[in-house]
Amino acid sequence: MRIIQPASVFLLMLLMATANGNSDQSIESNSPAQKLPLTIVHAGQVLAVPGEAPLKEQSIYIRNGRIAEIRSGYLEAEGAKLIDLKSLFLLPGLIDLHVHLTSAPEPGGELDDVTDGPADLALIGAVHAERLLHAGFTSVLDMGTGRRSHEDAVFALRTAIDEGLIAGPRLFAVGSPLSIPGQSRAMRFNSAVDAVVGPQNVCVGVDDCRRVVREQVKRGADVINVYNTGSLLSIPSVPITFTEAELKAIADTAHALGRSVIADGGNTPGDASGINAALRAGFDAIDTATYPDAETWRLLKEYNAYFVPHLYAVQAAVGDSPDTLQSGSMGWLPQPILEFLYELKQEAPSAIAAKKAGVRFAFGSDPGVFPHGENAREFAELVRAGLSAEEAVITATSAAAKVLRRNADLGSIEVGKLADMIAVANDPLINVQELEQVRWVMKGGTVYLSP
Amino acid sequence: MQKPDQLVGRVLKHLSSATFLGLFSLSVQADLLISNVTLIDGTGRPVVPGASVLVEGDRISRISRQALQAPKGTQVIDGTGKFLIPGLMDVHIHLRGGVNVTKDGLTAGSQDFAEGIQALQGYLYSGVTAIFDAGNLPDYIFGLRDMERSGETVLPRVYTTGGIVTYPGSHGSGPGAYLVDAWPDAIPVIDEHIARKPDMVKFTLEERGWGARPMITLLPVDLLQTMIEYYNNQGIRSTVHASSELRAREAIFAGVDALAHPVIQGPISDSFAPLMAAKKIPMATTLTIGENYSRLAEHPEFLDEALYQAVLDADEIEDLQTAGTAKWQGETWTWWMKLMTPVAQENIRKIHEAGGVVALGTDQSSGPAVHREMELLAAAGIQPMDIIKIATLNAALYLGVADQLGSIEEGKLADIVLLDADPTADINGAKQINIVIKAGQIIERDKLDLPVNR
Repeated sequence: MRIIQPASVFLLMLLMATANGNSDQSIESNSPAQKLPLTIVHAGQVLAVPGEAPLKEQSIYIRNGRIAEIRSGYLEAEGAKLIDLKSLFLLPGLIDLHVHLTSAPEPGGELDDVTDGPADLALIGAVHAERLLHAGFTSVLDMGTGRRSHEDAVFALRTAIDEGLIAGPRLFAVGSPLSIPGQSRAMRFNSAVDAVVGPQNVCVGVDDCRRVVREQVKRGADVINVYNTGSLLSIPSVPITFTEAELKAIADTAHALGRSVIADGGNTPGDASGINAALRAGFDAIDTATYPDAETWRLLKEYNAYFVPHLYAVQAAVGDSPDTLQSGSMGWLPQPILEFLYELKQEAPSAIAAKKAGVRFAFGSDPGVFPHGENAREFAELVRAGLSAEEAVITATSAAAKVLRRNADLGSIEVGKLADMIAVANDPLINVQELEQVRWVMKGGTVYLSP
Repeated sequence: MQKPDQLVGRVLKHLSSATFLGLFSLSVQADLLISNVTLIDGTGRPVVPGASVLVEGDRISRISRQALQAPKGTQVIDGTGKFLIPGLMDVHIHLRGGVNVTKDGLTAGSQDFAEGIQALQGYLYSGVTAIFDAGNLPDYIFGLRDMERSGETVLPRVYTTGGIVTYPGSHGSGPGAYLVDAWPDAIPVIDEHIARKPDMVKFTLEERGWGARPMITLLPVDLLQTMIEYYNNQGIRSTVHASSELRAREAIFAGVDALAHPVIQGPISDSFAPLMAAKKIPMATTLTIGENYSRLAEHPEFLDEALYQAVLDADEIEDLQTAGTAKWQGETWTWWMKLMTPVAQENIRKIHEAGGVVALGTDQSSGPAVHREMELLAAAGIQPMDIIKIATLNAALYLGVADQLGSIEEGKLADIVLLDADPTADINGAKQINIVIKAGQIIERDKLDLPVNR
């Protein structure tokens, strides 16, 4: 297990037992937990559980990387290390369900797939990982590119972060997305080059797709990602790739192996068939989904699935006028794609309609399209789409934790959960843009950024 | 049928053509001559350097590209190196003293006429010669309008709806409002309103549920349509508060004559700007009200600017810069409005570029806010020359008084402002005010009852 060590599972059970009893007793008790080093964070304000009211003047006890206790007032204990955040506002560490650690919005990026090997990509990814962590993202989901070199680099990064070799968020990874032949989102090369670096996880038919899911899980996938619609690099984009039977097989196989499955696609104006087919197949979230329809909102609610738009990425990718398309972060892309992205930017965001329809959102910002570390700018876009600041914070905490199936460990500051917390200067429920300036970051009880 | 003053305008226009041909003698009786000035007439036409503008009584009688000999007894103002624009107008204010604008709607003020007079004189000081109060206590604002029209007090032109007309519990249903919930039961209520002679009627079509505000009741659209017709039949124009494209569209097709706000709830759809261009329904800009909260929270030093210092009391500025700043830093509304202001700016720019009519409004109660509104329009990407038109002729179109006001043209009322700096180079040039003229009379800015003169 990468995150829950056997020892900590034992501790967790112990702590949960004490939490259910008289909490005043637990710190003083003679449990084995008492012998572990204790850190106490004095927090001026804490949004412990997004959706509930923030608490004032709390002491958060941390042992072995987890929240051991939360008490009112500023308390001290012998031998405990104190962290003074009385002037700051604490909240759970942020979770981004859509990053590309090994990609950067740089000119020449279209050739990375053949020029960069896994070692190059891992080094780039290490830099991005630290930026993400310092920006307050203590967990991220790498959504893959389809190239094996990227997949290998991301899994290596995950191991290095888990072992403490480099600083980075908890890294969840899909490995490579599943796609049908010719509709991966990876840049297309001539057939000889594609045969060597060609996209991973291309499958045809129900059995083949089941096999690919199982093999991807074997290689280390935490979540399964599926290109349910065609490549953005081919215009017009194919509105639906896999058959409904294939999508169902992929979703069922992923769920049987304890993995969420996410559909990443939906860029065909006026045709949401690929998005809606994924929802009917039981997918946990639809990602990107730029052109949904009324049926999409109905299905999202019927299946309790999550909507993960990338609002900031669309704003950042291209310039603000037809004459300055190349001034965006993805200015190196071919002109027709820039024009398509610009049209997309002009559209009233689907997120406004989603909010009005009352669907559940989860947070995924898509860095790689823009520089890693700017992820939190997505919050302002969510609020522009009509979410309250509180709802926006929920997308990147408890909602994202549920998509990862890790809500027992992540997404709130509660006894027994991992001590992943961040602090900002002022209440982000009043001004969500406070999240763009994170002052303090703790992951698993270790401080990575101090005021 | 043409009104007599329109005829006068036409005659004067013909006389003016004659002047250009040099066939007309220069012995016109006039009271005021502004000579050798750079003329920016408010229509969006190119600037005219070296222009002469003659004012006779309360009207602009002649405009010439050539130097004119001042008739005997005429006061001559040397406009060399200066710039002449029409008096600025603000089509959306809620005058302080009567009501206060809060994020939850209007609350009753002190009914302090002195406070209202100071604020109105602050507009004049800032080059604003006409305002439209879009909802207030009727006795208060109609009382001030009477004071202005009788000439009893030196004030900018006051136009107003008096009280807002809306549905019980809906947006604007606070102090001074006329509440209506069904037809024909509404008739006695609105007859009472019409008896006060509102210059325009202001409705609201707003159910909220945005910007973290709970839902409230909404005026039924069919009732809105019936009332618009009733007011229009008596010659009264209508405007409506709407903040979403949906409600704005409903109001337009219910027959409204103007929109009191831009769409701020989200980006407008591709067809909304062409619709606004086709209908030519003026839309008030009101960016400043939303932006002012975060400006107070983040940059309270803006109140140190000369115009604010001139028209606001020092203790009020100090209070705004301390308690006010702290209060607005802690409001969700502040930061929501900060995020949405660029959306509204872009919506306004699109409508303007498509050929729609946008008119300057602040939803505030101070003259300097008009200049902030112009800065925000410039930041939206609108050219200074167009901003001047938005703040003058388009505002007059909004109020339905463009035959009398809003541009420097022969026959129109002489509401004009002489500037020391070129506002077409930088819209902030409009803050460099040299002389304000209303109805042909030079406003003695140094005698207005304002903090700067005490």
